[in-house]
Amino acid sequence: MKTSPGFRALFAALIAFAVVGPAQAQAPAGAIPLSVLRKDQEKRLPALDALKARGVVGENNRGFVEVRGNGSDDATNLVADENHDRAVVYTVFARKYNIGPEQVGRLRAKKIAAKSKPGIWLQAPDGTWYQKKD
Amino acid sequence: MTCRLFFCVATLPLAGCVNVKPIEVKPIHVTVDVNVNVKVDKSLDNYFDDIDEKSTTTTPAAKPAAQPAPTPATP
Repeated sequence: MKTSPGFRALFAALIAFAVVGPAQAQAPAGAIPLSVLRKDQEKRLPALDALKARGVVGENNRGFVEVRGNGSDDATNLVADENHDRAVVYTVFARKYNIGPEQVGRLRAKKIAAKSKPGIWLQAPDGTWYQKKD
Repeated sequence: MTCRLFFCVATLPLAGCVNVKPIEVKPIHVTVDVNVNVKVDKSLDNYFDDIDEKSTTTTPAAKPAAQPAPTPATP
């Protein structure tokens, strides 16, 4: 039976994911293990926290970070890197549960909104931005 | 036999008049969605909890209160 290379790659990724679990599975984009992604996210966490605390960056309602207003190049690059990693994580879980990555992102956004400390900028489900109160 | 055949042929036009209502499956679908959301939430927690705990802009997840130690029975 002949199968296309794309189908074989997808099948191999699904088998790897089913066997080793989400934490160790190969991410579909760029084949980066999730454990490596998590370490990268932890490394950029202090800088991202500082931007969030200053109100330069907020958490949107799709589970991603956004530069609010005119951010520096450093802030923009940091946000792009973080969002790339989050997108990979959401895609892995979306494939596991056979749902869209947007749904995973929205669930994560709800969690972030609940866990965020007062003063952090968040985007409500209706799209409006607000600063979390006590 | 002819009578049966006549009956079948005679009732055939009435078959189009039968009104079958579609089966409502929404409640089952909602239940499945909720279950998937719970599973996804758990997976997200497993992945992000360590990061959230180290973050200075999030509060750690509330852990269930410890059960009070049983008081020794007084004689």
